[in-house]
Amino acid sequence: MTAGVAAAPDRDAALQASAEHWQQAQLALDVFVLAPAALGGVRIISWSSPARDAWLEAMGQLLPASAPLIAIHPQVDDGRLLGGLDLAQTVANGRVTMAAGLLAQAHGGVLLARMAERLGDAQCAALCATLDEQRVRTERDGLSAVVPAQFGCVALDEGLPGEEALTPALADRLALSIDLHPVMQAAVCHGREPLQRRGERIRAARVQLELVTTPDTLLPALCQTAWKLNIFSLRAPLWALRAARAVAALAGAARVLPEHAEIAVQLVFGPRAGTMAEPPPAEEQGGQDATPPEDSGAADNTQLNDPDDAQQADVDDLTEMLLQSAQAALPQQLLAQAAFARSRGEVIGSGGRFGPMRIAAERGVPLASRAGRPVGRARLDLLATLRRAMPWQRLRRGAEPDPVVAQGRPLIRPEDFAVRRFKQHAPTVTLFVVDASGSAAMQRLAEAKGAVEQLLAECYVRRDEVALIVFRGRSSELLLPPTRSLVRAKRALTQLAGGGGTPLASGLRRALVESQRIRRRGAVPLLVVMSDGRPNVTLEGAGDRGLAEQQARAAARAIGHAGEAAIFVDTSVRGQRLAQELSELMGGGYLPLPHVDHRALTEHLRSFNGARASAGR
Amino acid sequence: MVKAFPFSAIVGQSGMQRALICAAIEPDIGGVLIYGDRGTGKSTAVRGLADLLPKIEVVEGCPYQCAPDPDSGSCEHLADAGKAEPKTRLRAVPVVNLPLGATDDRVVGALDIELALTQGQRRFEPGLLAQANRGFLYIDEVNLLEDHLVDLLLDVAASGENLVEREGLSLRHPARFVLVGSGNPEEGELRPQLLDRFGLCVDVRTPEDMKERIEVIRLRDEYERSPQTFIKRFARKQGALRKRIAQARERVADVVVSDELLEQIASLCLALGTDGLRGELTLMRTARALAAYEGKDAASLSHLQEVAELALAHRLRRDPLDESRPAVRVAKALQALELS
Repeated sequence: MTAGVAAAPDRDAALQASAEHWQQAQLALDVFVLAPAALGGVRIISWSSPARDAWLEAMGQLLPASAPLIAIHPQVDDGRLLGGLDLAQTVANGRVTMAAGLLAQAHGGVLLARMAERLGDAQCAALCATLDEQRVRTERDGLSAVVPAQFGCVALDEGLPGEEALTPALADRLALSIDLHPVMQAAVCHGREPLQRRGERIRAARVQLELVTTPDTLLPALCQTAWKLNIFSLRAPLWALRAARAVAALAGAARVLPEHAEIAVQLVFGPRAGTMAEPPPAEEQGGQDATPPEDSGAADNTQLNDPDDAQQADVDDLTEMLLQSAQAALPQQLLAQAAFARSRGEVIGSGGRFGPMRIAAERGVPLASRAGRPVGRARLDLLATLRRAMPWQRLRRGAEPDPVVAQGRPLIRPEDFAVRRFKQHAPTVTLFVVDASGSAAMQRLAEAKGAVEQLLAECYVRRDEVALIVFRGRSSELLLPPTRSLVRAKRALTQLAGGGGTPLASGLRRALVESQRIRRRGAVPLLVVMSDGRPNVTLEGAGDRGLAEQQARAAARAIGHAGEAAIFVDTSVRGQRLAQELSELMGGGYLPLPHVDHRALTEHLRSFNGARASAGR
Repeated sequence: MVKAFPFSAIVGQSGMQRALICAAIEPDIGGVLIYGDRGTGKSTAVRGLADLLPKIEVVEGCPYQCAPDPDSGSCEHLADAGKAEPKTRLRAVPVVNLPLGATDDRVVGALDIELALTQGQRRFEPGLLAQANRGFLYIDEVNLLEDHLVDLLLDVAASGENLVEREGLSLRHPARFVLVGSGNPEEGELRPQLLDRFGLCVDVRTPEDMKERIEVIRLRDEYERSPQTFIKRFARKQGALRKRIAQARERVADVVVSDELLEQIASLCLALGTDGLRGELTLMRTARALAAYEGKDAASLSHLQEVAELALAHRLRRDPLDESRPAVRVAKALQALELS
């Protein structure tokens, strides 16, 4: 089964691809509804479309009638997700009552995560922890509870391809992944199996699933196949194993046969190969604890060295077959992408995990409470509320006609509510834009690197994130997406090589795009451009100095218009006029660095930040 | 409630297992930090730890699991509450989980809301720190923890006492526990103050040996399909491990650490440039714990070699931008020590 990309010019080919994707999606649906919790979940890569609606509707009808279907969105509150104090019931009953969280409510059914690529850090972590443990632990608002929560998670990934993507941690916990982008309306309407018959088939398969046995060769073969496809997660073979059982049950078989395993591999490994793989760091001399045990004599640890050669041969045969199946299912483009990315040591789909930062403070340094209703983000401060209500008790009890109520619990009115306030510090992302062209001679580059390292140390202290854009040759690239991991930043810097022309305009434009992305996440970008201010490559890649300078000015003007904070660090030997001009156009600071004085740079940066903070940005 | 995945069924990850076992044998080591990607079995190992520890004697009804006072056999906290003649009982060592999204009122303890609402009375409701006294406190995803909670835990872990000053309450109660944290380094580094507080630090990775990988998945699958049978299958192995740890706990105070070994520890720490005495103390205690676990009467150089990385690697992280792997530096220093 080949899946072509929808960019094929031929209409027939596009229709064919559309039909195949839809068929794959239907098969994935059957496998999923058989045992939602056992497979972790499904990731649906698609914008809102009739195809996705049809898929979800079919899912709703094929799930057991008693299975709950709970939806969450990226702005969902911690308290709603994990469970917390049910204020109304508590005040009404006079007893602390807990409101079941959404995760607990989804027990036995499906959790639908809309716009899943925008899920915040904390919610993502909570969801992952619950999927792992199949339980929700709640410790908040004076409540303590551990409740079971087994469900399948359907993540609707609406991210722009190549930009936003579902967090790898969550994606790893969802066995199946289907791409509905290429599916056209024609495929959806054409040839549908009557839902009732399908439902019966699935009900029968659910019963069969308990009885399915797996041959001993299956798991080793799946592990080897995954390894060969550069899928390093330990979950992937486990999902494939369970998917194989499900496929066998759907076919009414009592034992998993190779063709069932093939289908499972296409469903589970196909989408993963080359996307989420981060090759393990090279083994160093020091010796880690994950060294192979007694088998130190074995030449290649990725092959099994079983004494039973016959069984090993079977495993290898199965592996070959599965590998071919998986590779056939990979979109051609993706293979090429993966190979290219791996050759540069990159990981696709890992840059740009976006979640809305909660700026409307729900955390941070607590300030005094103030009057207000506990709606939306604002959290009730129970004690302050009670304190506000206390002085009025006598009056209210006197005015209360019903004697039972008048004698009982404290009488609280809406005007008594007090909510917590926090001081939130919006995180800064320091975006370095580094000139790595030949004109920035080796020494200058080394000095620039040194300066950047000093700044990195500052960022570490302030708990900021750093990102790195590099321009040289004919273009620019985002070498390091915003990260808090200083080690990664350092590594990216050390691997930086210089040479080629100076495409300054390209670097500035990419910086602007990236800073807008950073803003969307709710963080504040700070641009630090390090260059000798002598661009000679245009945006189109041509060597026209005049045009290159013009374009650089235009890009700097755009940054100035956007109002982003920027510093231009001039690394040329004698200060360049163009560099000064650009810094003025950007509306930021200018710092000539004839001899790199790290302290001066750090001071400048610090004062810049201070000025911005006091100006209330 | 389904019991946790048995500790003895964990495949590989010898560094992490060793660190947790040493911390269980000698609580003074000061806690374990487990660094690694998600899905490497960190939480599984810690939750399985509870089943391995011997029971402790506590005063019945005491919210802080106090040991019975040697003189009167009572607990001062209960005495305050006016109860008479409390009994003692055996219970499992508490392993308390500090989950994501925990609010500080549950961690520290707060006003008993129910009582305040219904009868307008003030009473302290103990939180997680009280429950963890004489046991373990496990923090999942320690780098995602809010800063003020981190500060709070630092204070309590250092002093062994929880001081509550909030909502009109003012009291202090014992809170001695072993801090175990797990985290993902990709999500950002831990502040040095918190990092230093942990006695041992382990890096875990997914195994690369094919046999190990298959075994891990096979066992996980079996456990999830029928947990009770799986647990029964490992019951004997768990029992043996439990006994070994209990014996080690009794023996550890008598294990001899020779002057020569102390000198070697000191020169190792000097060579590596670890700060203060904490590194040396931790290393000594861990070596002793390992020797006790192996049934030896004295700690030797080989014990030192096995635990040096666990105790020292994270104390070398002074420069966050330093590229050289700490484990390599420790190994090199150990080699130099051997030759001298």
